[in-house]
Amino acid sequence: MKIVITGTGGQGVVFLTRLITTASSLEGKHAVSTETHGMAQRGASIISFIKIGNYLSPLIRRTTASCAFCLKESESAHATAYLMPGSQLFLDSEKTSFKEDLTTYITKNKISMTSISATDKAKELGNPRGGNLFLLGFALTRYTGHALPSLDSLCAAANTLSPAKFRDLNVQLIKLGYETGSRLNGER
Amino acid sequence: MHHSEFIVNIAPSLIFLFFSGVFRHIIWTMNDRIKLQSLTATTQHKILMGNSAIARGLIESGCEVMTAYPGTPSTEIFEEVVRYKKELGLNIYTEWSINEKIAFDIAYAAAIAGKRSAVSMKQVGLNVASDSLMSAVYTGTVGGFVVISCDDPGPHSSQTEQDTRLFSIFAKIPVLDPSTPQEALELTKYAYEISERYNIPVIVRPVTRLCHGSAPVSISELAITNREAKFKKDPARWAATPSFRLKLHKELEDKLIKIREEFNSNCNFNFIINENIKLPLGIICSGVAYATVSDILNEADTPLPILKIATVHPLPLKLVEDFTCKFSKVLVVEEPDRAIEIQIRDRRNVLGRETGHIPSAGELLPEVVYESLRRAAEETKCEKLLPQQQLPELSIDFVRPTLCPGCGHRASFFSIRKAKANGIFPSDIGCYTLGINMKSVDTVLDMGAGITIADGLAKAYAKDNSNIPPIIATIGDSTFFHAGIPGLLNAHVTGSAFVLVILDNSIVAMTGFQPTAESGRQADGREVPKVSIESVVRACGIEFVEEIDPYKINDFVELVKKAHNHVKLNSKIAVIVARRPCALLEPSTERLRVKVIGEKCNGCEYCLKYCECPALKFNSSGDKVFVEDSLCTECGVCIDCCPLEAIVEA
Repeated sequence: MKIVITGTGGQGVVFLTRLITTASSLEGKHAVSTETHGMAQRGASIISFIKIGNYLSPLIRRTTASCAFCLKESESAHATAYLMPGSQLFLDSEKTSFKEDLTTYITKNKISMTSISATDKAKELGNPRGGNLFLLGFALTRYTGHALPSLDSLCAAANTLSPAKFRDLNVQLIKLGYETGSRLNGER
Repeated sequence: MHHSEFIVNIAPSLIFLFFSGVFRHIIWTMNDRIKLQSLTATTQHKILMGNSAIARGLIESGCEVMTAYPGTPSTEIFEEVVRYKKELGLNIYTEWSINEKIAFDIAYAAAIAGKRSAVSMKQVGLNVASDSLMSAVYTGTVGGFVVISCDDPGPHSSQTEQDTRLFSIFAKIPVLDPSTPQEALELTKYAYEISERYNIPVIVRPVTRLCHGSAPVSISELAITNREAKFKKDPARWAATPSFRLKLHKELEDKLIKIREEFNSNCNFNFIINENIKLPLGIICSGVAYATVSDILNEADTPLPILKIATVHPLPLKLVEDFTCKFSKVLVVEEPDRAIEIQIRDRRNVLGRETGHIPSAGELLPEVVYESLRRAAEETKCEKLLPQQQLPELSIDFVRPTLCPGCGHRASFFSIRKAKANGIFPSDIGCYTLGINMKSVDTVLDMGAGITIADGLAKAYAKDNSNIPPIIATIGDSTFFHAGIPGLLNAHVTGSAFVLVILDNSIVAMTGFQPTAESGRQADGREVPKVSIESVVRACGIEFVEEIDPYKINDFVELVKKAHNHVKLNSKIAVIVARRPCALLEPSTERLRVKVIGEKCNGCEYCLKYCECPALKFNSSGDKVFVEDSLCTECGVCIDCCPLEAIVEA
């Protein structure tokens, strides 16, 4: 099972990667991942990979991932290129205005897309940089595959990885995303 | 941001691994030591980044002296050793040195005094340390000495895609190429064994994806060596003159023969999988390329015989050539260059870069390796072929990296360009390389070349004695100390004339905030003497030395003009020190909220091109600029940038 995360430097791509990797390990799964450091972090497009299962290399081949998180609309094509047909894309955005080729590709490959303005929701909680965690919690309520760890494991991992100052807030962000998703599911 | 180690209980995952495909094979094939470490209940398991695993390997080997100069992707190796040192109270001497050559010498000296030591750097850092490296391989070591040089195929964060393994062949030094964080830890320990068994320095060469990739790693007990420093005088070795050097060279060649023999017959990091499958195609690979090949073939359920090599130099020729002669074709998959491939003597059935089956430039991404494997299997008429890849034809727009909002470098570059738009702007390696976005950086060669290229250009124009353009060089604080000082001295004592702006943000920012010679502290927190840039510049003989706060745009512009006049009138160098702490580390306390007056902005894009702040954006109709408050650090620099005075205090 393979997960892709795209965004730009400073959005929390690396933290989200570590969170999912750690939570998967807490569930006893073998997880490998890779992240971007150095100059590429200075506000540029970045991508992280997580592979859960019997893998040695953290790199993902295009068209083979089952799930992607995209923390910025402009990074959607970058994430989609790694997705397999029938997979799921979770996007932090209110509206989506994709280029024609991307819309066509997503439709043709039956990639299901869920978008929510996660950063705006996180801002309301007082953390403008918490969109990544809200999106993750939200995604759990729509995700139909087997790659993502459970809410409990993710919260436990957030407890371990967050600096003390942000620990409660981070767990709260994941839970709020989850609750929002559950509520909207109920309304549907 | 620095949490490269997450402690979790992953024992169940190792059991899962044991009963799953490829890994089972490795555990059965690799040596008993690894088997035991992976499976005994007493070992701890952690998710470690490759760099952290190497650091762990160092302290499990009893490394007593560790030095480094920061550089992506190597930086965290040293930082992790420092973290272990602090957390576990280890008695290790650690030092961020001024440059890689110095770091190399400090660690090497500890090794010839009998201690186990290590130095880490990125691959281009090895160029800086190469003078010492070439010689130290001849003189050898007493205590184990491990050099970690991290390659950057891609390149993601470097000026070249050079291969440390090729450098190792040139320098006649053993080199080990880890494929996973677990193997990186084990190979680091093995490097010490080889180093002490043959009294020779050993290189461990990871690549970016290993350095910054995380995986479950089993760790074991620390070794505490605490050897007394004891330098035994032996002038024929440590101060060898050319005639003794000849003897040392012969000794080195003898060592390499013995090491090659050990790698051939007694090194479990080299192994063959799927040996009994009869196919016309075999694969030889090393490092992360092995991990990639293994994942692709496993996923496609297409087992091919693979010879996995960890000891790339000296190459275990018997092992390799016994393998190659079994197949009609053998594909060599390695990166970033040909190191195994060129050592194979009979290459008539070898496919690789020489035959165009592996691209000569760029990272071996899974798509690339897949296509190489598919093509080789097709050409050798393997029974089970990999299907053609259908890669998406999507247009992907990548956002380029930019200087952060509030960065003092942005203000400096704006002022320099505003003062002398017709200038030539040689620059250097660091965050400020991103001044290219603002058209204020014209050359980036290597560390220190901001000054030497400026010097050379000044001399080339001066020779013609007409139309000499303003030459305004920039260099960062750490880069100035690293390789700038000899260049400045040379420029001054040869009568060169140009303006040099030293961009002082008081930290090594790009690699994650390491101290500089101005900081007065070391990585482990201890206080050390510090030196000011101005005193060093004056000691190089420069008379014009002025400091400025780059946020003061108008004053800065005037100062650049004044410095340029000094250069023209006196034919001497003028140095400006632009001092403002990194905005990420120490944001300005004076805040100036800004806004754009809509009626005044005509959408000329001047601020977007030459101020290039991420907080300045075009509105949705694309005719006016607005300030994105969530990104703005309220530095107020853009107020002075707008030619129409449309950006004002809010």
